[in-house]
Formats: sequence, C-alpha cells, structure tokens
Amino acid sequence: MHIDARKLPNQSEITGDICIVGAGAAGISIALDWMNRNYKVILLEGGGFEYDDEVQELYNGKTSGQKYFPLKSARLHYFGGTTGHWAGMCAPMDDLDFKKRDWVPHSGWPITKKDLDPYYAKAQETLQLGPYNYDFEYWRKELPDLNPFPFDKNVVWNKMWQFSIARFGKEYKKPVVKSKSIHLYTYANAVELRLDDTKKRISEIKVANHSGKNHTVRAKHFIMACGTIQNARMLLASNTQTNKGIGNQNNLVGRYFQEHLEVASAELWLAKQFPTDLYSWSYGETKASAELAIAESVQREYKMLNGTASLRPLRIAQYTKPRMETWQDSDPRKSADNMFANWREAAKKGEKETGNIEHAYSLSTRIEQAPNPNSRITLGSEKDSLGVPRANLHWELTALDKYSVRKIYQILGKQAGLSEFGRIRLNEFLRDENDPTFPDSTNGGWHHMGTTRMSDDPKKGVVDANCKVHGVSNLFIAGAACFPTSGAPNPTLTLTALSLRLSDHLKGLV
Amino acid sequence: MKRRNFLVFSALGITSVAIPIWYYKYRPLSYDGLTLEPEYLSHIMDEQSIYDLGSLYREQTPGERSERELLSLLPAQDETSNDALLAEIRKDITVDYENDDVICIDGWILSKTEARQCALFSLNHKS
Repeated sequence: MHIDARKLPNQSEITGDICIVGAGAAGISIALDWMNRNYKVILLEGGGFEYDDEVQELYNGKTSGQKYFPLKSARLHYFGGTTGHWAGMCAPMDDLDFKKRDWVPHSGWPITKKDLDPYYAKAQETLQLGPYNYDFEYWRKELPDLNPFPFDKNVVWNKMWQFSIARFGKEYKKPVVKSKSIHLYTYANAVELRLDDTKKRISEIKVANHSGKNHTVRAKHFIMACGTIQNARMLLASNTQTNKGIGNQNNLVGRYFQEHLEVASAELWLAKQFPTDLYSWSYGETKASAELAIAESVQREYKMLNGTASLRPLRIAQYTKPRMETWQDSDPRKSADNMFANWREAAKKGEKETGNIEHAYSLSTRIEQAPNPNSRITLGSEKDSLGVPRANLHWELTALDKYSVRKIYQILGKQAGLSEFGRIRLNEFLRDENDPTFPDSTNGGWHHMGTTRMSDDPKKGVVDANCKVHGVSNLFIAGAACFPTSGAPNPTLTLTALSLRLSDHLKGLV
Repeated sequence: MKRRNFLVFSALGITSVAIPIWYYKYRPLSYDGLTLEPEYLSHIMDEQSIYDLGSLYREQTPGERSERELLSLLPAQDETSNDALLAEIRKDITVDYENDDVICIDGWILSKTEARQCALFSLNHKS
C-alpha cells in the first residue's frame, strides 16, 4: 500500500506494529521480509519515487578534515535509496573482520561471521545475486578464463566479488505498493524521535514534508534505516527530552564514522600480457571477479588493516581523475555525469597508448578505515528546511590507515618479484614512510559506516548485538551505521544481511 | 751494504708491495655485460629509466657508488658461461625477495641485486 504523506490531512496519526524509517537497501529488505506476515509495517520514505532536489537538499551538510564528497550528493534520497545509482559490488566480510585485533584499536564485533552467514545467503536473494559462494575455486569452474596471478596463496589470495544490478526503487516498488501489510508513506521525513515518560521507549516519531504537513507515527518497534549519517543525525537531533540526544548517554552517537579508502596506490608492470578475466569487471556483464587480498596470517604479522587491490589497465587509469575531484557537485546527477564523462575521456585517450604500458595495471586500494572516535558526525548550527539541524562530517584518518595501504603494495611487490611475474611501483603519496597523511585525491567509496556502532557494552557502542539501541527498549538501527569495523568489501551485502538478522530478531518480539 | 745498494733494494721492495696493491685497487675492471643488465626491468622500462634508477640508488646508498663496490656485492664474474651467470643473478634476486632484501627507488620495489645492476648500468652509460 502506498500513501503520499503530502496528501494526508495535517496532523494525521499513523499507527502500526513496526515502523521502518528509510526505504533504502536496509529498510526495504526488512519490509520485504514482513510482506506476507499479518502485521502492519509502516515504511517511511522522505522522498518519492523519483529524484526531488528539494528533498535531496535535506542531506546537505558541512565537511571538515580529510576532503570529502558534498554530503548532499553522497546518498540518494528517494524510494530505493542509493541503490538508485550504486555499482552493485558485493562480497561478504572475512572472518577476521569480526574479530578483536589487538593492533586495531576499537575492533571486534559482538557477533561472528558464522552468525551472519545464513543472512548473507538470504541477502544474496534480495540483492538478486548468484549463490552464496565466494570461493575462487568454485567460480573458476563456473566461468572461463579466470586465471589467477601466480602469487603464494598463503600470502595473497583472490577475494571474489559478485555484482548486483538490482535497483531497489525499480525492483521492489511494485511488491511493496501491492503489499497489504506494508504501508509505504512517501514524503514522510522523520524530524524527531519522541520518548515516552519512562525515557526508555520511543513512543512516536514526528514526520514532516515540504507541503507543510506534520504527522505522528506510533508503533511497537521503530527501526532507523535512513543511512549512517542520517541515523546518527536523527538520534542527536532528538534532544528535546534528553540533552545529548537519544541513545547518546555515553557520547558515542556519530563517532567512529568510517569510509572505505579507495585510492589508486601503485602500478603493476608485467613483462608480457597475462591473459585473464579474473580481475576485470564490466557493469551488467561480469558475474564474478576478484581482487587481490592479503591473508589473515600476514595481516597479523604486519599488524595491518584488511584491504584489497583491484586492477585497471594503466593506459586508461592514468587518465582517470580521482572521484574526489570529479564528484564535487552537490547535485548527485551532475556529479555522476562529470565522473562518467571523465571515464569515457580516459578510455578514449588510453586506447591510443601502446608499448610496455599495454601490460601494466593501476592498482587501487579498497581498505577498511581504522575505527576512530574523532571521525564523526555532529549537528551543525544551521537547520534544514524542515527545521532539523544539519549533519556535519569530520572525516579523520590515522597513521594506521596509511601504513596499511602502503604495506599492501610492499607485500604485493615482494610477491610479484618472487614469482618473477612483475614489478610494483608505489604511487608518490606512499613513498615516504614517515608521512601519515593522505592527499586530497583520496577517494571514499560513498560507504558510510560506524556512527551507531555495535557492542555488548553500552560504554563502547550505541547498539547491542541485535542492533537495539542501548537503554531504549524498542528502538533499533538497521544498516552500516552498526558496523564496529568496516572490512574491505562494499557494505551493502553485509548491511542487508545484518538488517535481515534484525528482522528475524523482531519477529520474536512482536 | 753500500748506501747506493740500500736505496736500490729499498725502492724495489716498496715497488713490489705497492704495485700489487695499486693494481688490486685500480686495475681495469672487466665483467660480463649481463651483470649490467637487470633482466626483468629491461622488459618493462627503457634504458633511460634504468639509468635513472641506478643513479638514484647510488645517491641513496653510500658505500655502493663505485663499480668496484657494486661488483663486490653482485654475483662473482668467474661463472663459466652466460647461462650460469644469469642463473646466479636470478637466484640472488629471488633470495633478495625472499629475505625482504628489497629497496624502494622512485617508488619501484626492487631486489637489491637488480638495483645494484641498475647502479652499475648507470656507471657504464651516459644519460
């Protein structure tokens, strides 16, 4: 069922069993999981079914620290969320990502990968991927020409990816709108969470839109699923009953903001062509491909973060501008146009290159960011058009991040030399071992994680192992905001799995 | 001994010691061209780049700036054939990578042996 909240009488009261705030990958995945159940599920979406700049503007905010994308264009604010333009790259986190690592401050999840495995398998279906199998040998039998580089498997392994082309807005509009149990309200922006008199339960959520309508939503359980930045913003901005905001008794909401560092880091030069389709990817065509990953034992030995290296032909990559440069328009449509225009131009120029460069690759890092309490979301002094303080992002990286990026290529350099397969050349920003900084050209992956991190201890995390906000019995967070650490893979598969796990947990509560 | 004889014998004595020492230190060096040629790098970069890498290596590595110093650290030149010398160099390069005996020059992660080859190359060629 679909209701446009702009057309409801002002001050309407909406009631249901569970209320999901946000209709992106996390929110829609949970809603779909309740589709055939005899409960009333309220799904609130701030935007409509298409891009609306007035709604998108609500995401605007200031950034400081490490250069970042304009916040307005870093997510999409309509039904389907950022799956509206995502690349669809999916891989599960590794076992190690869930463990406490003594060399990574604030690491460790209260759940293991095993806890998440059944939900990863289920998330594969929601994301319309292949089987939940990310084993290289499996894919090698399934697909032709997946020839691996001749590196020692105990040092460098092939981490497999699958690729989704599911845009949730298109794929799931029909089933959601047709569903009797799901009540989708578009143009229903949450503007405040209200606690009851005990201050231990959410009693209602206030919603508003640009038509001047204000409504109230009441439910037994509330799930915030509006993205890592907006989830934290809403908790912090709901501060009329508690000074610090909801769930923020230990001053943790908004902290530990993490991104994936995605940065061109080195070159791999080969003496001759190495025919393989293992490391390349073409949107809508490639079923599975790999990135070069560092073995757990090696990460332990060098006390480094978990990251991978992806490959692109150097002749093209050398003309590709950093996305942090091309994606600087606050309108996400214009930023996307700029980025794709540069990619086309780079491909055109690169095609003309001949010689040794024809068998050279640019290696790009994809790596977790070390959890850092100073990397955080706070409220700005400025308010948006619906009266909610804007989110500010201070993105701060650490020396461990830089060390780990460099270490990946030192390890690959050694492997390439040992196997007489090639030689690695570090990009300039990695050459000075005493320089812990990152250049402005360092990309994020538009992957926002960690602002309501998970921990059994309320002093160390905002939500518990079931994604329930500590101290609030009926408030849950869905999505990558709950990640204590960010792993190397893009977060959508894991956040969908985690949301489905939360959904299962809720089924036992209602 | 007459004064004249003493001087003659002394001069002969000094000469007999000094000449071998001088010869050992300043003798013209001869070595196989293979030693100059970093085999793998020559497949992926041009001579100028190898020269530049060699020059940089010598700059940042005191004690490895002369032919004589570099040759003393490279595989011995007494191998019976080119193949044997090449095999020896390749083996040393592998051992370098195994032992983490690598160096970063201008961003390139190279085995010490091949870096020394570049350095030797830079002493034998003009930029």
